[in-house]
Amino acid sequence: MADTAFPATLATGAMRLLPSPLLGAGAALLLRRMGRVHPALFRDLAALPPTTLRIAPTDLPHRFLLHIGGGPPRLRIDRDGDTPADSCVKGRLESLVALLEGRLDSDTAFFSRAITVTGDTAAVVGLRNTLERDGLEVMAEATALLGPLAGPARRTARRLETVSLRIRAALAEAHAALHRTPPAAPAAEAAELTGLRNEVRRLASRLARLEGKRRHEREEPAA
Amino acid sequence: MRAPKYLELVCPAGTPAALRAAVDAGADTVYCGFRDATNARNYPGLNFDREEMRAGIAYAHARGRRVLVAVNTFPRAGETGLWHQAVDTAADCGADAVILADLGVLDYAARRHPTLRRHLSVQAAAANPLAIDFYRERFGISRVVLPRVLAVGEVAALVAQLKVEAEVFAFGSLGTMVEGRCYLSSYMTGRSPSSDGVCAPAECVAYQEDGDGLRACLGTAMMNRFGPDEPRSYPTPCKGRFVTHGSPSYLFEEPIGLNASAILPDLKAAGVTALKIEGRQRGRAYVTEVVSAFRAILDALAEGRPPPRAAARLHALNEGGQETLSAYRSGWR
Repeated sequence: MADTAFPATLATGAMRLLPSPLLGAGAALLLRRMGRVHPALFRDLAALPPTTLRIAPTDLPHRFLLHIGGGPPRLRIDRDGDTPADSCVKGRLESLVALLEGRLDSDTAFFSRAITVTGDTAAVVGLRNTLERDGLEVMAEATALLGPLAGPARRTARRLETVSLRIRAALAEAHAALHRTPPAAPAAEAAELTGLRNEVRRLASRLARLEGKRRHEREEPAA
Repeated sequence: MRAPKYLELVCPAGTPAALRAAVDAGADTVYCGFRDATNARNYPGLNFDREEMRAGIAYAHARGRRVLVAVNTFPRAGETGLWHQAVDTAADCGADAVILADLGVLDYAARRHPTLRRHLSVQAAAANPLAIDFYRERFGISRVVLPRVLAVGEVAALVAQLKVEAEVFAFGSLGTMVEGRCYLSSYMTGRSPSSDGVCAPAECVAYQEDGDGLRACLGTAMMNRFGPDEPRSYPTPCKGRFVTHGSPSYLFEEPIGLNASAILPDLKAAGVTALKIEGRQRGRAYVTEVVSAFRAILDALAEGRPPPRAAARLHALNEGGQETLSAYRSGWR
């Protein structure tokens, strides 16, 4: 794991504990720094039609409101959780950050249900394509706010993330043992099963189509 | 320029970052378009302005790769200026070829820039020797991008009669209708894939949560409702799920993507020159993953090694999380 890789488990745990005002202030600070480091990207964001997006990490108690277009982007915590927004992007924090950094293709995330987009799709597509033009690194930018402590902070975060992942894996193992979860199917069998399921779905769809056609022919015989 | 190994790998770029990602991942050639209706991926925030195009071409050329510029939509009568300007700008920026579909734009490019290579876009839907030879004789095309309707045997029979190079699709979304002639999306949204460069334009698309499921709408019509465990797809009319006689089914085509990585030797034996990866609307993570996988396979085939199973993980990148050989296997239905 690189020092600037986003420590998803650690960040999710820490952000769950942070009070909203503190998290909001930190997010706004991070956004301002990104604006200084990526001026061209922020110019492009400012040129987009004005819109408000709700960012809803499904594994956090917090909801964010991102205002873009017509000026510098602004990010704040939506304390009520129901402030009107033009669109909403939902997903785990890890997926949302991976999208922001361009490590995850948004269409792939959408196909696989890792994210859900509702509301003004054009605004979300415009934001996605604009972000794709540059390379943001959330961990690098966030720790850079600490000045000379950035390096030690990154190393500490990396170690804590490694420990967090080990603890999570151990807990999952213990949970599986306690509940006597049957062993997972080997990857090849799981892939075959998925393939068979898809094939059945395709065949069922084709059958419905053929039946519809036959019924149609019965109802409207050729003259 | 670097000589392609086995087959030329032609890769998509919707942004300057994606162009660099494609080159770095091993593309021989990258194709892209300008930020307007002159190309078939005219989505918000996507594509290149003049300076970005110039810089992107310079980046590729410095690494021995080519850049093709798609000007492959059809101008409306009397509104050809933007398309002519796109061809001029591509030539001025140093593009290696332009990908064109419209007869008038082809004529303009042939007269104004005779030394700039012209490729016939898939949007022209030219799939027989007479049509392709017409474009070669009249407009001097060097390459045709074949529509996704031919079986491998049909590709071989066609290529044997051609005096131009043939490029075929190898991965990505499938067009189920006759390319460049589909009116379903424009009928429903008022914007045309062929003239405006958008199928299912983003401003007409809406997803709505519906209990555990998700509704996908295009304009005022619902195209699909996905259950909680179902993979999702774009709400394009050709891949909508419609209720007929009481049963929902995919009337035209399943949401599924093409992956021809398993038949690359067959395509080479058929006389194909280049493989096209679809997806200028996709992110650089998609570009990196798909291009790297195909690069590894092509390198192995060029060196006589068994191809790696790198492409096995690619199905998740495709629409609906499913992949097919489509018409290559069974011809056009």
